Amino acid sequence: MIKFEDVHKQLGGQVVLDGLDLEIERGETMAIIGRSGSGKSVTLKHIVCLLFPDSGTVSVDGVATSSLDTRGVFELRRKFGVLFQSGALINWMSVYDNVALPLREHTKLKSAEIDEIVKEKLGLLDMAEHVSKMPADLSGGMRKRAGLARAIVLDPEIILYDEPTSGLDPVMANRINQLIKDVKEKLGATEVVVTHDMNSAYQVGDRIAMLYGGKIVQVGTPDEIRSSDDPVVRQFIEGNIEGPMD
Amino acid sequence: MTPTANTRATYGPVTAIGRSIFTAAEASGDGILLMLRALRYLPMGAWRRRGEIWTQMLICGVYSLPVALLVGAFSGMVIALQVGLALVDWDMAERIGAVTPDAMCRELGPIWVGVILAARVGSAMAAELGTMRVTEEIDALEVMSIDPARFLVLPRLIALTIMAPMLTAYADLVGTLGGAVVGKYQLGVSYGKYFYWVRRTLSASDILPGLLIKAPIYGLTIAVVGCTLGLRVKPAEGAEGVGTATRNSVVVALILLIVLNYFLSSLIRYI
Repeated sequence: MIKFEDVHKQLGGQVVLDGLDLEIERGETMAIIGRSGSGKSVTLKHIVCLLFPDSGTVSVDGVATSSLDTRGVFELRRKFGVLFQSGALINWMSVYDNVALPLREHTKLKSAEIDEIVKEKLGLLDMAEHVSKMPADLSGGMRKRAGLARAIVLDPEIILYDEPTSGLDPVMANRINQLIKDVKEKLGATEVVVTHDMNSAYQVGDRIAMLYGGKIVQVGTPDEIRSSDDPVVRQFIEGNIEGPMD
Repeated sequence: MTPTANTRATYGPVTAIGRSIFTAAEASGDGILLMLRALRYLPMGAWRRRGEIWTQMLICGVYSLPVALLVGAFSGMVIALQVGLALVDWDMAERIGAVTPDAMCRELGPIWVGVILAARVGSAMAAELGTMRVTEEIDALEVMSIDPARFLVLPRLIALTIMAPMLTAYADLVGTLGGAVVGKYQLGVSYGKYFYWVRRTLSASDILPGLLIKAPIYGLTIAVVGCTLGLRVKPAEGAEGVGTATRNSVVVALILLIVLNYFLSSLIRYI
């Protein structure tokens, strides 16, 4: 469904992706792990055409993103819901308006129908009582939940999560992990979760891909990653200071 | 390696000039393309965002009115004073009633309103959109298939293009009245004589080009510059990038206004 083939990308003169190959199947949850600054978010941005490869191909449903014009990019993005690291709620809109925004922009639903869907999605994420709050009045966890409600409001085929548990306390992090699993179960969506939180990766990932040096060094199920012999993977999952990673 | 202050310092002067020219050309192209991309959504895009257009008109226009009135009044007063002092020796001081409104409507009203809007509104647009870029709100809009050119830029372009002439009309008016006050209390020109010359000399061809040509073009230019520089901020640049965009939006808009003012004044002569 989503395929990276020999993708190279430099940003600010720095090589971020250096021959990345990765295939994500329809209906699976792929957790991409790696150190901070290893290119996980850059990888995610390639999927939604916020970035394009310098060379190589990123394709979604067999269509190379580089071959799309502006209209094609906007069409492709309709398949996605994205939870950004900070939630990325529009600051001057209430939680309700943020979640209703995709419905108002892309559907011809009446206000009452929009109201019903927005409240349903926010209720799913225990945010029903915060509908009228502004983003500035929300905690980090609430922003992520509101951002997730917005990401799933159009029932997308593919949901991308950028560091969904970073900056959250363990209880809230687990709650978000559970939400990711619930959302997949309810929507049957393909999910890509970028994280450096191993607990989160083990919980939500059907498969886990380890990104290091601009390449995927190993892809496998959580059990395969847990028992990996790759020194880079071992150092990362065990959090060792000494090892092949700088 | 990411360009840093240290690596920038190693560039020679020729490279630095070349980079500046390249960046300016790139930003100009971005600005023109952004404007065309936003205007392509007319008229339905504007109708769907009418609420935001009203909000922007309030921010750009109504909240800028006190400053525009103050600056307009004192511009008219200083013109009346300087011209009046020159003419008083020739016993022609009442002719400030011919010169002041003419100067206000043709030059000072539009350009001062442009300066106020560039400093007050254009910079705020750059800061707001730049901050939205840093906090990934722009990315969020894009991945929701919502074009920021329609959602954010178009309302700002429309609001400023409409409100700049309105503010200019007020500035022209209070400038003319300010000239009358200076004439009466500093130059001994009665209101009757002052407004006799206003009525005798001021015509639509003096008023309308400033209101209908210069002011809307200045408003549009300021909005395009503010939005372009705001959207060009890179997330990694953070607060520093927002600050730079804000500062540059004022500088670039003012330079463009001064240059445009000359060429528009030259063209308007032939209309």
